[in-house]
Amino acid sequence: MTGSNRAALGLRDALVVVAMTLLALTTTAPFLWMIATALKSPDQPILDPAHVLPRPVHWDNFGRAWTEAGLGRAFANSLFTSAAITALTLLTSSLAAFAFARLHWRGRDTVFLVYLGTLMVPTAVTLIPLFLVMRELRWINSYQALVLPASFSPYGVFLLRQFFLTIPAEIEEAARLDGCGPLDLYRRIVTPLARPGLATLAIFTFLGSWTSFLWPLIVTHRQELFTLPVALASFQELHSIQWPLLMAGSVLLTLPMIAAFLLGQRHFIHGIQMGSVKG
Amino acid sequence: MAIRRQLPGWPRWALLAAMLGLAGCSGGPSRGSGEIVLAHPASTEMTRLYADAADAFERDHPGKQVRPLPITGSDYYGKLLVLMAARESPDVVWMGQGFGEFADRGVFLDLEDRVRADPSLDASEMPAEVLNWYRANGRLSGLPFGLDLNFIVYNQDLFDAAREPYPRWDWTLEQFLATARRLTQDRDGDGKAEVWGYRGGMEPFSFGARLLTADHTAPDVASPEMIHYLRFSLDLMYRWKVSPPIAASDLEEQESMVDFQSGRVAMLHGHSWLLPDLRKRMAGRRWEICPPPGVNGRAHWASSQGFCISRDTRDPETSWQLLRYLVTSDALWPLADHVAPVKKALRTRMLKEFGISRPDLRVLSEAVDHLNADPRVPNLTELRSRLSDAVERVIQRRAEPEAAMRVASREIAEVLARRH
Amino acid sequence: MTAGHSRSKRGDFGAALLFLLPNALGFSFFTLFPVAAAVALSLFDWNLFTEPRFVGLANFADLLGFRNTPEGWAPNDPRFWKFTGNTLFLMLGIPVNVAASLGLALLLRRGGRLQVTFRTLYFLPSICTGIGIYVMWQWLLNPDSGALNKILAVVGIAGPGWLKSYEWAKPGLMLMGLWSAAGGTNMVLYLAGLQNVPSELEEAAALDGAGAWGRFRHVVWPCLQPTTFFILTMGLIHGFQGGFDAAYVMTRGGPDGSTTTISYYIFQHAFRWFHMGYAAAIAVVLLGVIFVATALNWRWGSRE
Repeated sequence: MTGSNRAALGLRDALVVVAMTLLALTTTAPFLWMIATALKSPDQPILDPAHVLPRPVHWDNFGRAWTEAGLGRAFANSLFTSAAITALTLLTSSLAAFAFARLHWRGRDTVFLVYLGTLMVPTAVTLIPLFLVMRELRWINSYQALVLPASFSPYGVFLLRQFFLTIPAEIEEAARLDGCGPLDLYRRIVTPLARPGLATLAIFTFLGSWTSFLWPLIVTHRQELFTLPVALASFQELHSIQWPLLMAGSVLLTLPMIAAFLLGQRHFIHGIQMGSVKG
Repeated sequence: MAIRRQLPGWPRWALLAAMLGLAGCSGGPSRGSGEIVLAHPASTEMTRLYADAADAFERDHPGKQVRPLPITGSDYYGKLLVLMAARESPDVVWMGQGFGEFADRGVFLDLEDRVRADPSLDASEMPAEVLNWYRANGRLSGLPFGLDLNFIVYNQDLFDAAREPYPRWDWTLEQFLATARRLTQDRDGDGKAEVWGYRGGMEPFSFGARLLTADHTAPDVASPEMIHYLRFSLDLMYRWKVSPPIAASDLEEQESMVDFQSGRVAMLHGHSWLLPDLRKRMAGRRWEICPPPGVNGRAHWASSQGFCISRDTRDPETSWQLLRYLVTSDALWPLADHVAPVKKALRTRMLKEFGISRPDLRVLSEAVDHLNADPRVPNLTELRSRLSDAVERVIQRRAEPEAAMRVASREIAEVLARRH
Repeated sequence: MTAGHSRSKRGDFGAALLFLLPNALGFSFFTLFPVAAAVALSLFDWNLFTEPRFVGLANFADLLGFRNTPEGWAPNDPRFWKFTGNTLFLMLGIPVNVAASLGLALLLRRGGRLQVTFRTLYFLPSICTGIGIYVMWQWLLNPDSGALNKILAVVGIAGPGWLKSYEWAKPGLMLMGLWSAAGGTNMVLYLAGLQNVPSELEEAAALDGAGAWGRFRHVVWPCLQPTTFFILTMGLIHGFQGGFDAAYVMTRGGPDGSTTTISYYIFQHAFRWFHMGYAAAIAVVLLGVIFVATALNWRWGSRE
């Protein structure tokens, strides 16, 4: 490569970085706006572009949001619920996805199509029947009602199946020749190789349940069981909204999601090539 | 070995699953015996007020327990209905305009005899009209305590600057329009005013228009009054350009308030529930309220706040005591600075305690003789949505008023027919 | 470990059953059964309180049927067709979003410090959900005071009415969708998929003189097929049942129903007007449409 080529490349890279920085500004602006609004005093105009910055800065909004609306308890509820749903989903989905992707049995594709089919079921359809089931089980206002219906999603099965399918058949053949049974195959070969997939599913499931709103709203009506989004909704007054506290709560809602993403991201960067393919 | 190191964390998963099982046991039955559940719309103010009321009731009635159930969000009736369908009915239920939809499903206790037997309630102190809003199939199933109303809010500074006299309480639509035109300032003439004369849309009742005929059996939306309402609304926005186009959204009210606060709107279509917010936003400024203009004189849109008792309550007696307590004691009195009390004596007290300036609460207390309410029929939400769809089509200028109302009329008739 | 030896190529049935069991049990109970219940519900007229009344296929006739009127044949439920059109219109945003996600993933696949930072920043919109963000977009899209129209005005363009106008409300929502989705889960999926592209193949292609586009076209893109298939399938499914949150929080489905999607229509019938049977019937029709679309996509995806 000649020097001028390298210079052109450098210039192009610089332009790309500038463009990407501009893009990053667009995507982060709302979060900054949320923080700015969260720090405003209640009577400062919120929607007025002339008053974007908080003046004076009300750090106590976060404290008020935490205590007044019981966000502390709600935060813990959300954390527990989301973690439980994520753990259960990873476990049951990976087992089922293994059966769909790496085992051979009659009727496999038909059963999978049924799974796939239910992915398409709009939430509105199952809402009432599910609610009636919860009522019959006397699970209204319980952690089971928050966790269990969300823990067997066909989505996870579908996602992991796709990841499991990308694992080269030769590795599996070799393992089988070495006398590995399906369980060993699952534990020692497929799940370790599919760690990026598992991490991805973990992030999605965690984020999904962390922001889940409609279902928790319907199955809980005791404050002690409210998840964060439901508790946040209590800020949304009947006729006028307390924007700063709502935004303070929204910031609290967002932080763990960023944490979850950062954590999961490390996993899929160190994915397949760092794992047992080399080892 | 790399493979072993990468084993999924079985023990952690098992532990979480076990925790899950344990946590599940803590759910238990949703309500202790002897506890009265009181459902009401949630807001910072209401939630605090009802919590205090519950405490006060428990002090006066030893051994009784009240658990307020604030229902959050804007869809109070929908959520309540879902709760009731799940046989989780609250015992005492806050009820307003949605009463008809619930009463028609037979979910409330008949209170007629109890009210009649209780002299302290003195139903004659309440306007018969308002009491009737809680009557279904001839039976009284609820008791009101307060009124929600509409009015016009105006910025006195902008009126003074335009040398415009403040609105008379008996003003006509023509006077209203003339005022709005004189208050509108559009210096660059681009049709987007720097100061709008008015914002917030009109109320069909101001034109004598209504959803259904008096006997509630047929639509009445294709009436000349309704067409007048639509033409007037269109003219405000597109012909005289004194009002920005209205949009149906939850933010519309918020945006209007911001515009009013910042002096970009001289007159605002307001509702009584906005008063606490208005007082806060407009503190130290000069503003006032007045009745909305009307074709046939003064006419307010109105709804009410009241309570009903669920048919499924396990303790009708205590529920009734709680309802009585809420309606007759001072527990909800703090609301009276913006919710006009239904009882006459209390309206007098409201004026004495909360004043006749900034704003002049006589607008609320005297509105009682000029109330217009939507009929509390079953399916009111659906019927109203047919009308508002058509109105929106007209406002978006996608249909002529007459054509849109013909469609709405047919659709409303279909909805009515489906029920019977 | 002896079971593995006796297992023939087709003989995984017992093992498959065991692997499937935990998920299948929960899945049957919490998904399959409610779906069946919903299908049954679509044959009834039920308002949640009075006894359900069996009406056969009447709900479907009301929903899909046409009748002869003085002005010619007219649908029994014109709203359903209009809202189906809205839903399809909004789905036009899916390919754009997917292309944007792929583009971002390609730019950010190397995983340097800078790129990891960008990944996080681009991911932010997809997790800033809830009412706060919707409020911000309403402010951004405000025809008069909104930032977007102010920027357009600088370039000399008179911005449209966005969410307040019948024609521009849907494009406004699509813009918001692009903003929130481009750097979100789809980008993450593509990043994960790109990890599976064998670098030797790319290097070999480069040595053969393939340009950036050639390498993408012949090496990267084929390797991303399963990911693209997955993303498109989910996009289709979500697209058909999408639009609820924005309609619920931002527009109430308006102006004049221009942002009402099928899912919001189902919600209206079920939880505003309490026509549980009719709502279930719409849902069943929606289910059928999605099923056919996905089956076609699946056939295409598993062709190779």
